[in-house]
Amino acid sequence: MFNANNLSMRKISLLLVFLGFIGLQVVLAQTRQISGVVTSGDDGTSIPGVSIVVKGSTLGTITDMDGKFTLKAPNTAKALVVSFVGMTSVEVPITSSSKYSVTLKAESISVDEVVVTAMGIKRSEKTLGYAATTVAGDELLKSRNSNVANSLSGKVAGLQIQATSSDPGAVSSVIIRGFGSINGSNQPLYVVDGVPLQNSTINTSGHSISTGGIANVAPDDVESMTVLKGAAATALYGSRAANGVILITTKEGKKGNGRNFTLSYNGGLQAREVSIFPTLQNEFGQGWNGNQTYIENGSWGPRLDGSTQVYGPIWNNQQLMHKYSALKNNVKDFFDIGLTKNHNFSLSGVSTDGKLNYFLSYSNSNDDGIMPSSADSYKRNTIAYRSSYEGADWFKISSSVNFARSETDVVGSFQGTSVVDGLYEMPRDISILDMKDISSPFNTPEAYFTPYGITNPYWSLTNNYNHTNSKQIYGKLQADIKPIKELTLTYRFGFDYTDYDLKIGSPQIKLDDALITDNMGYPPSKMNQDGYVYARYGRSYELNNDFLANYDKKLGAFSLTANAGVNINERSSTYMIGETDVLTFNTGFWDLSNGATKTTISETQSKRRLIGLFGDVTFGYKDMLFLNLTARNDWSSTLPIGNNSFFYPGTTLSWIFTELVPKNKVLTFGKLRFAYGKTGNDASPYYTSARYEQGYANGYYGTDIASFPMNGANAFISSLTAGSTTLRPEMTSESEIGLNLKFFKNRIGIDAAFYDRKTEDQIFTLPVDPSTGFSSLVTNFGSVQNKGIELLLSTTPVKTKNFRWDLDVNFAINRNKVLSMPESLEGGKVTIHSFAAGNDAVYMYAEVGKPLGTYHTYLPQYVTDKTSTYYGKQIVDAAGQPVLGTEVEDTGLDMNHKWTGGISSTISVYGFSLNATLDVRYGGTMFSRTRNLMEFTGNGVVTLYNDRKPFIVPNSAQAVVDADGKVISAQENTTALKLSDGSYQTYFDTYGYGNGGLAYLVDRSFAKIRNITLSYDLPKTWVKTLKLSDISVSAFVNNAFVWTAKDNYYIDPESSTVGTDLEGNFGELYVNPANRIYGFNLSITY
Amino acid sequence: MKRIIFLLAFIILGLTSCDNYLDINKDPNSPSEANITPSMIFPGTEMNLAASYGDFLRIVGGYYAQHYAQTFGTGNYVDYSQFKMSATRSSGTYTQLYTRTLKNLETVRQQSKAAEQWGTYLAATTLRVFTYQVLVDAYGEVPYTEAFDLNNLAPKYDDGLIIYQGILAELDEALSKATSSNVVCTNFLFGTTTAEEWIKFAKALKLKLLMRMSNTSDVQSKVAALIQENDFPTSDVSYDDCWTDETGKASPYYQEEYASYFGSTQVNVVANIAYMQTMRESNDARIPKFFRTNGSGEYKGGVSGTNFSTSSLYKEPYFCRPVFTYNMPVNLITVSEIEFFKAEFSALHGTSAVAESHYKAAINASFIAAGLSVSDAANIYTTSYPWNNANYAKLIGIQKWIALGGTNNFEAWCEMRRLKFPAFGTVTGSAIYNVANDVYSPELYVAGTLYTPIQFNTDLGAGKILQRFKYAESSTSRNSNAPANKGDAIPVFWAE
Repeated sequence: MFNANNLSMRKISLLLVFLGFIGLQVVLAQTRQISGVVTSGDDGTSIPGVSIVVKGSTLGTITDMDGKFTLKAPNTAKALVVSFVGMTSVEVPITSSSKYSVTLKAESISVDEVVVTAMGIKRSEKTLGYAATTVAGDELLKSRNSNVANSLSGKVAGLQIQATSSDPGAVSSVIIRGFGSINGSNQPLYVVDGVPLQNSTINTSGHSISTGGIANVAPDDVESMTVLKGAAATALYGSRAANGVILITTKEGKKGNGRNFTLSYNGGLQAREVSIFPTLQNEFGQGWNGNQTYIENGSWGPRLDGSTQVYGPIWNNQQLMHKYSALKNNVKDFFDIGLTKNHNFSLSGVSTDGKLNYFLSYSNSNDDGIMPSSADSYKRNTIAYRSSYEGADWFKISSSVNFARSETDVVGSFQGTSVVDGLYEMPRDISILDMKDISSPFNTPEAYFTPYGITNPYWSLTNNYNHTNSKQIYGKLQADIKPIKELTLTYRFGFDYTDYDLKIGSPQIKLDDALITDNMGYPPSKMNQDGYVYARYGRSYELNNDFLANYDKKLGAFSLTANAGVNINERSSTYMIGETDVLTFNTGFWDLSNGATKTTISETQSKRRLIGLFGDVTFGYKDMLFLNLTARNDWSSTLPIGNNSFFYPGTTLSWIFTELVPKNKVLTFGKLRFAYGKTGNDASPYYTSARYEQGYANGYYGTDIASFPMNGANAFISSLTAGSTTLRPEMTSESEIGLNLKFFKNRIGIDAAFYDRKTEDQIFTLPVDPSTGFSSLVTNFGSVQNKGIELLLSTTPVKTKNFRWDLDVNFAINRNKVLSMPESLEGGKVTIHSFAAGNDAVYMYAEVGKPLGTYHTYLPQYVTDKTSTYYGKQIVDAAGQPVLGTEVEDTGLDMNHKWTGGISSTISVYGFSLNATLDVRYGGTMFSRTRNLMEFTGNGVVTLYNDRKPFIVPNSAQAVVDADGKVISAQENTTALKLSDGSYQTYFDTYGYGNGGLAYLVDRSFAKIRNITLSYDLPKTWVKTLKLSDISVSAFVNNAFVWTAKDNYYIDPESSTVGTDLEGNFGELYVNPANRIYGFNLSITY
Repeated sequence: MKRIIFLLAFIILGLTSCDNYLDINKDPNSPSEANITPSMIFPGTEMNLAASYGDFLRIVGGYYAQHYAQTFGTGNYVDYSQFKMSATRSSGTYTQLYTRTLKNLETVRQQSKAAEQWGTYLAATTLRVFTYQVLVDAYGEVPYTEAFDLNNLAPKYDDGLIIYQGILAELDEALSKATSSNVVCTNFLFGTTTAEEWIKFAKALKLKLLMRMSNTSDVQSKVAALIQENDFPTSDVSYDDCWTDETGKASPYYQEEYASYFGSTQVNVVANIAYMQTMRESNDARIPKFFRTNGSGEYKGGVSGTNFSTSSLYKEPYFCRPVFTYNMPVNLITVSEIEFFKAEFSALHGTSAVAESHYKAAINASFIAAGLSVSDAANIYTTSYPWNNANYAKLIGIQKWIALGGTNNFEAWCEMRRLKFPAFGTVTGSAIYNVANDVYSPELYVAGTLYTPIQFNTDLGAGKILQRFKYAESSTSRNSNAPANKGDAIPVFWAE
């Protein structure tokens, strides 16, 4: 049903013809000929493409290239409605004259823009006392991202969108005005046409993908997106709005030109390639500690000399041979060009009497990534239908139903037999292209050149499986009743249901080395793994019942708008996990029956309910002063019963001071706004009581080294997290001052905001000393402050009839600080995320007095004795190796960007439009396993230090230790590190190139040209001859250019493999390389 | 308007039943606390103890005792072979022992005490005491008097002696309440329903605690009374018949070091030259029971402080792997250890003849547990290591080190620290294996001695055995009362 390939073009054209007939059912009555010309009131030029409709009918036409029109109107016609995008519509009474001259004036659209705010309430933008940025749908469509949220990148000040990876189906982390919650979610709430969507993200094999939510909204269905940033703006949405709200308004039924429906197609083709890749050395080849070892997974061997050499084990008396010389692109050669196809069809319209409005759309997106198979792909089909019917002037019903289905295939990011690990640990002299044939034992673990945990990436690609199927249905039913003119009562039922099947398969490797003649020191059978099949089947839903009363009244110079309502919300999720291992069929049969042992079967359920009562009143005076008061009280099931009620108010003031300034040509509009708001947040479910779980125990590496039932008995043990019966809601309060200015008839606009937000009484699973009996305790503690400024400058430097240049600049600074932490915590810090392997460890902490996300690790030590002649030198041990601290220390680095900004520029000339968006993020640090891996394997360019000749650690001093190993003084260091005894390599591998754990950290700054689009709207005259309304074509490049910090030779700094929220900022482990995308798009409207 | 009134009435009605509507915060995946019984909890606590004690602690003990060395090709435990322990390495074990073991044992103790089920109370107390002893022996000091109190998130660390005295008192109290006919809840250790074997285990544990204290505290009369009563287990106390060859069900050490359950099989542990050569020189029949032969059918041990990564000769097949199968036991206390304690006590406070009989019984018990017979053991105590009362600490030290090397390496590391034997010889690891020239000279090693690893823990110093773990990161980073680490060479209280 949703397979676009089945929908052949022929069928589509039949459909178009059929639909065309419907539009031709125009009854011709007694008519008269009317003609005229439409000109612009601004510059007197004629305007093509203006819609002329006979009032009260569907009869109409559009003006031609010279702004002229003719049409036949019935004799009974009273007036013409003349309208054009961006101009104020006018009604022209039909007189006895048959010639009309109409002048349209530019609509001051940005001044009196209508913004959809909380609960779907529409408000004039000027009355708003808080920051709200709206991005139009066609802006979002330019980059043709499958996920519409990504298209907001660089367009909204203070909104940080971080793509977790470039892989198809990857979701993004979206953060508005910084991270406030240490433990809870920092993601905004998505609301589609007044209905909240679940944020359904799952993390699988280091990839964050979507099973529903925003990722399933077809970009073509979006009319606009509005970002509400402040707490005052969000008070009405309750808890989840504490992190901001992204409101999505979908398209409604539209009349076409001269007909009461529109039919449109929008589709395109994209090609993606690798954009950022670690910089590799080309001097040294396979080996370890300077020796050629034939089976090593790294390039610590001798200098490449072009000689012919064997490598790998001897299998059945055969061994591989190659030229011992660098293959510059041996890793990059693995990737191919990934193709993405997307199509969207929509049909929308309005009934003749204007009472029925409908919109139907179908979209298909098929995205294949850079891996040389479809193991990295994302396919999505959506169908959306919405309509409204105004049964009488006092009631209206509307409904919306959206169905989406997606399939995501992920190429996992993990250590071991993953594709990326296999690539990054490939010696510089071994050819990847020779590995395609995985029927050869040399290209499978059986006789692969290295047995050290990694294997042929082609084999990994074919034999690892990670597939997610998901279906989502969401929408609403709504009734609006107007018992009296000023009062509207609304009931809305919103629903969002998602289910998904996630299946992960890992092949069994079961080697016996029977045909291995010589394993060169380590047998391939050490690669053996049992393999497993993991299945997770889940479903989740969210239901919202909203009752809303809206009252509008004007009394002379005063106006009053009041809203009151109730929201009843229920959210539930449930999933079941099954896992089996010791596979019967080594690979390819990913079914739970394919295992000798069933190791896991478990279920997880969660349900929460919330009732909210809210009110909102706005008083207006003379279109100049608007005072808004809001209040909400919530009762939540997740707080201790009897103590589950919490109240939070908000207020805003908006003063349009230009009402007092005499009309002038410079300052067109000026508004000063003040806002203060609070938002309460409840806990996650089941934090208020003691919990028990089925017995299990951890080993050092493996989790569940013991798992019940075992030996015929079952067992339960206390959960490691202690609940709390005294939980209070988390409170976020925010103050904001803003200024909106428009100059020279909107040619220059400035929107500035300063905000100060505090999240206090955070609900946190506080890590505690396990000697308390628990490893964490749910409690309220801590306070985090985010304050910052946001600037948005929108300009139109040039605007003539056929040439227009728009330039928008946004800039934001957010300063984040942890204000308080519980005293029990050593040094007032808790771990947000960490990495530990062997004796390396990098921690990311929330630490009192510092920004969130400070990095701590083992650091090199320096002589601190100022009287010593070696003061300030790096301390090395007797072996000449750096001495690292025995405890992790503060690196002084944190994850936060110092500032972010964006520039968007559009030049429009004669139907051509060239747009580019630049996204800049400066400062901040991230963890990168890729960087460390480049140093571990000797593949990275930094491992060419001193041309790999012996060296003494620069600027170092040797520690003099007493009998107990205590450092007592320093002396001259004369011990050189050499490749021959392994110490050169150890310096990189164990001591992080002299940097200790800093060798895992990179600067996350970047500047990206997110998108360059060249589009062309075909001239109306040409389009008309095809009986169409619009044809536009565009070509674009996404992530066209990326500049990274100068010490980042490794990865795209947006990469994350650990999720989408605060911990997702930690960094990456084995992330797949980033992409650049070239695309072409065609849009046709009938 | 009627409709509106109806609607409002509906809303108001809805709100009044609010509390019922919202009272759903009970986790459907968790059994209710009220329904939890000791039999549901106890096996869970046991397997958590077995997973830590029988895997992580066994491995580190083996490296610190120079039973084990790190093989070529992998490096997972090379730091242990250098006598190092970081705060993070032991963190998971610390967490597991306190939370899933001790915390749940507390629940069992509270419930059984309230219900006066003294058999269950004794069993839970015995495992609690056992676990606390392990914590003190590893870390020296840990929270005890202020532990298990959520109102105190910064419990102080207690001195080892205070804890030992406390747990001895707990053990006495539980022993005073239980009789052998008391019922014990479901457990994997004895699988029986009465306290009879638990009482014997508790008394053996008491002996172990007292003997550990014997160098620093006057416990002579207490030990004498205990030995006089002689109510000890007659077979090894171990988790030995509860394992299945499956992920999550097999003996823990086997799962991580031998099975391919958790991804690939990464071989790390091989025999150490010290242990292997000592046994070879005394023609110890336990060698093939404790180790497999290498690729060439020989018995070879590696060297502490290296993983031979630069070697072209001593690769993975060169060194011997410990014998281990999925169903091998996790020993809590063995008959051999009990006999060694008796021998030691008799050597000091009794007669040489009695001491010698217990010394032989200890060695015999070790051979029998290894599947050998008494006759196989004779050459050890007649020829190689004959009894000599004046030399009791060295003889018991070395033989205990050998016996525990195949059964309980953590305990071996503890007893070496207390008995000071085996002692360090003059040969160093760097002499035994010259890394730069790739020359291995096992003949330099002197049987029954320890040697400084090639690369060694400089905080500890050369010629020393590691005395303690660094305090666990899961405590120190969360507990503002956690003390600063003592040096790696500072002994725990009983080894001072």
